[in-house]
Amino acid sequence: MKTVISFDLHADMGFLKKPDINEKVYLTYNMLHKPCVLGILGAIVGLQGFTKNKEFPNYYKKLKSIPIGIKPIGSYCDNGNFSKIVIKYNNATCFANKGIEGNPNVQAILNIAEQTLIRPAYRIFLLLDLEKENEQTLYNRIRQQEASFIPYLGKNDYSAWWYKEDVKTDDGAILFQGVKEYNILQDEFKDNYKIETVFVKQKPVVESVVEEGEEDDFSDNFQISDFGTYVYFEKLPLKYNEQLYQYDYADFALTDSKLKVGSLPTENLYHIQEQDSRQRFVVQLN
Amino acid sequence: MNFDNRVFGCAIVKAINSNYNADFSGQPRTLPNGIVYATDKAFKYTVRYYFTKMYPNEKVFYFQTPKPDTGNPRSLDDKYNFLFKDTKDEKDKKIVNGNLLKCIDIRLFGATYANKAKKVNISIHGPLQVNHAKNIWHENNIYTEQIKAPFADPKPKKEKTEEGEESFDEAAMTTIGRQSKLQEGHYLHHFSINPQNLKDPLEVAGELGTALLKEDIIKLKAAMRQGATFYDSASKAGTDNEILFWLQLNKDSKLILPAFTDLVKTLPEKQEGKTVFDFEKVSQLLSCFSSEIETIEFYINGQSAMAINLPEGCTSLPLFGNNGEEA
Repeated sequence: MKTVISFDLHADMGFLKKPDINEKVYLTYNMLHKPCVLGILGAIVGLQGFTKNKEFPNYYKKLKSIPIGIKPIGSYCDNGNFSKIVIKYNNATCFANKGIEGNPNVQAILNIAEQTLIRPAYRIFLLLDLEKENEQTLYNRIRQQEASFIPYLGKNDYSAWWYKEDVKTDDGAILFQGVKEYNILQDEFKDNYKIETVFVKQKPVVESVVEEGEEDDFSDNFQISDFGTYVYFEKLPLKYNEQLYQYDYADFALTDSKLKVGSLPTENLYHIQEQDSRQRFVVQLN
Repeated sequence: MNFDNRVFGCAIVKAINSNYNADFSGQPRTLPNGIVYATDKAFKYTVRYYFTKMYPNEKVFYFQTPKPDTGNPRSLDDKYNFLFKDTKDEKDKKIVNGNLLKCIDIRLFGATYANKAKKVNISIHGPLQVNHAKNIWHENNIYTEQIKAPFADPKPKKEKTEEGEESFDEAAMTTIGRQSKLQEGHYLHHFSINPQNLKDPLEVAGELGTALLKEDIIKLKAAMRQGATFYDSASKAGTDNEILFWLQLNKDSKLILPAFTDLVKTLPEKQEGKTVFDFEKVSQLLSCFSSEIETIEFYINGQSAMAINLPEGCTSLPLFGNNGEEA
């Protein structure tokens, strides 16, 4: 049996390292990406991580086929962006930096500068096949707010967590959403649709978004919110390239605009309905 | 005896007219919104410092030590050879893992051991993970003061005399420096312990491995309660431990809890000169998980702080002293 669940991952800070810069300052991705989520899922199940060069860890081999969707959330998320700070610190053990100028025998302090996300939070959608043992474990553990290893966002200084049930304020408003389960609806995507998650863009987004005046503004369904206010772009890792042992990238976008029919391939689009609130929306699970 | 419970908790460090963790301009670190924060390294340093000074028999690996002959710091390789004298040129991962696990700081914080000379790369994911701290006091007042150096500038101005000879114009004044401090701050570090993290290195090390011990935890608690107070330097005088909140889960519990950073509040008004910490949200959170909790310990410096709305079943103990635990 296949099911879609979502959980909201929160952290005080986060660092999702970009592998393409390794000097002066380490940079972070703004958006969580699939290879990183797989590591977190591995921690939840309790599968082994990277140990050897040129060998994929257990968690990756076993979980890589799970389709995953990601949506940035929370009050610190500004149209998909989280604010960032560059944290500088010392590695003062003197083990990591060999050589003060002119004297390679003297060990020195290493300065590190790291761009860090402030208050990142993401809703993670998973399409789980409950007949597979690991995915059944994931399903149970996520719903019980349990994990074998304590998850973190990029560095183990930045603990991450989620809530199994909604956390409400005193007047009943939802502060943090808990774990949700969804039914998959039959849909051939013959109407324009809004997409909740970040998606792999196939062509310029400007050609895909529905603009004001294009739809029948006077129809009964018309809502002013159908016309979006922003489009967010980021080049993100999509998966590992298993020959080169490095990330394969794709151009991702996020928008609150409606997209035209046929803007995206429909294979990994899912129209889902939350089981309790009956809310429906479209997600892309890669 | 091995320790194998999961723990969540928070350690609060107060700084009064002090600079607990400075950035590279010498000011206390601030987030873009002006809130003062500290890195996990600052706290871990106080713990490691406490270990080296209070438990000289314990091996502490990741701590700078000088070479006796030159006074220069030891390299990674030197430190390894210094601590494990019998196994000088060892490349066997089993022995190296076993040796590394003999160090109390590695059993707690883990290690990234990349020894190029011996071509050994070992990464140990430590059970204890300390998060960055945020100041939970309602003010973030940083001030800077000027201080006078007692000596003249070592590079005086060069002047040529009429005869063409060089003479040095001695500096008439000493130089002025600056130091910055935080008027008042209460830094909250969230932390977690998951002994499960050592499973893989212990398997590799086999019979040579040392797991996280109950004695380690007793020493750790002592360091987390007293380390910051114990470490006094010119800028850290005024930085003291204030609270240690220790939530120990049942043996096989796999529960994940949110960071306590936003759950513990300070009241803006002090009572009888004591800072008031409100644990209401922590109590609310824990009330849903009471079946998963083994013990809750609460250590507080009763002279400067008090706590309200503590969770049920929580034992309050003084922060300083051995509380009957240490041998």
